Amino acid sequence: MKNFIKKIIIIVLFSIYALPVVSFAAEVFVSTPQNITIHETFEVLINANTDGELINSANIVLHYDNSLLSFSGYKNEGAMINLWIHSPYEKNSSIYMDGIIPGGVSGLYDPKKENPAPIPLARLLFNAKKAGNAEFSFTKTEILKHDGKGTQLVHRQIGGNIEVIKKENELVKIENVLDKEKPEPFNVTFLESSVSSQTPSLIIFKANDLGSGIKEYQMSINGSEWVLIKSPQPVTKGLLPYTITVRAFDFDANFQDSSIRIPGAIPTWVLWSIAILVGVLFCIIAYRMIKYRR
Amino acid sequence: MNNNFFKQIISSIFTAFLFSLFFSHTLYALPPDPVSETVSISAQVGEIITVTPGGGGGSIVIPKTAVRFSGFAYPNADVVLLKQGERKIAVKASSSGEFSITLEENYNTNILYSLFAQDVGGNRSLLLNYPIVVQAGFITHLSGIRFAPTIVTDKSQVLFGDYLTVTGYALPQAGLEIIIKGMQEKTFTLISSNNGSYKIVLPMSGLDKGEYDIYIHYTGDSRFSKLIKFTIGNSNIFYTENLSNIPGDCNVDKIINLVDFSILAFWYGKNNPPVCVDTNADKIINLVDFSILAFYWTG
Repeated sequence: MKNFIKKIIIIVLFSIYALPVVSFAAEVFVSTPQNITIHETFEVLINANTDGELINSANIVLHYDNSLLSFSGYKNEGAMINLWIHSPYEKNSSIYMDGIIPGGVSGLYDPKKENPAPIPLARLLFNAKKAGNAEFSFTKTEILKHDGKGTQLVHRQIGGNIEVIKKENELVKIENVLDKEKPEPFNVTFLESSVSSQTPSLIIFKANDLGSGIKEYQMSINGSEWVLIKSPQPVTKGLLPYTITVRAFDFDANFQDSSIRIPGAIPTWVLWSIAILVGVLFCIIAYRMIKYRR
Repeated sequence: MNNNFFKQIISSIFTAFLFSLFFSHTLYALPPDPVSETVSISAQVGEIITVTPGGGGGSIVIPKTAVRFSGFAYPNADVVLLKQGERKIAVKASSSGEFSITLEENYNTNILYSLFAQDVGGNRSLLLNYPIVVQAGFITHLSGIRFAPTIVTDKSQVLFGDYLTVTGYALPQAGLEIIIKGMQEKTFTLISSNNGSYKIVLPMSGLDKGEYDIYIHYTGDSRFSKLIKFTIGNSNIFYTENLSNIPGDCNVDKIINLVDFSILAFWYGKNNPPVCVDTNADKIINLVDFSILAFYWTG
């Protein structure tokens, strides 16, 4: 009996040990260069190995060591999430981001590899400030399947680290490449609310910057003061038409402007008619006055 | 500690190993891979094109870089290729549904290509995404693509015990399965006609009142069509021009794009969202609603 109990205990313990290994086939992990020198800008990739599952959305919070590194932007090129609900931004030593991949993806097809490679979800840029070992760890990774229901993908998280080296007694080649290019030209679209709609009139915009990513947007109405905004931005329709200029800034303060004319509540033809009428009245009055004086 | 004890430990570990293997495959591991489209990628040296620079001198030989996508859509369907979400090229599939698209490229680390097919009835497939590592000087070929059949229903609400008509396009003479999922589940099998079209009138008898999803796929294929929601209730409600069956399509243009995404983003985290925005009807706008929108994305 004793032997039987011993056997059962060993079986149960071994099973508990073995089972979690097989229950998380998918993973989200960080890939970094092995080491970099101070002041160098480098890329951190957030990858997803989905174990063949199609995924289409992600909400990720990545913690990093802000005493050694500073966040300097992101790149959409080569990354699968290109429609951001919130593009990568820094807050309290963490990078927050959430976005979607319309149509979903299950892996990266590479003719040199037999099976699809992990999906590069996001490409983040960091700058090294001080020497030391900088760690990256996930605070949150929510990955949803492309199944029309938004089912969670069960996965494990794997952080990463990078060694920041200070090269002494030698000239350090600083590779801190500043982005000097403006964001690409973009359009602002006006979505007018209907009478029955709960959603107000909005302007929507999506700029792209190849060098360091879009950091923020600002708006100016008829040349007034610039204010911070996000897409979509609710706008009100005034009596008269007015112009909104949206300015997209990248992480290196380069900017690109785009403007849109918001139509007024009074149609343009009514305004023109009034103007013509006023003009005609003015002419009549002027004619009468001249005639009266004579 | 005698020999027996060690023997016991070893035999127990062996038993436990077998036990864990059994359990890991029956209770916890992912289900075995279902039969699905077999997409394969290959690269061959591109054709050699010769460029003669202006001003005389010799010519430069540049190997051609391109990506090629081939597979099956629907007979005479329009197959459209998008690069990073931008429409690039469209081709017509053959009468058997076969297609091949080639796009000349430049070297890049990886590019997201998307494909969709539009059947002769004007109904679009779901978007298929293929992120590819493009190699300079090679024609990278992704073959074996197969779109799931298209699906259209005639009603958004079916009278309890009445019928639902389902139509669409698939490959000619293909075995299909229509699945209804909700409070109960039902599967219907059918074969598409010679021109790829199918039409089936499904009896709703045996299904309780409530909400259901309906979708179609090739027999044995894991890739399925759009999910269409419908309700079994007290009356029939037929689809009209002003009624969209696509979740998140608030402006009822039958297209899911940046406009719908922006409306959803406006309501993200706000109270009392409109019904059309709340794609899963849970009265909260969160990542799940965006995921559902991404599923139905047309661009």
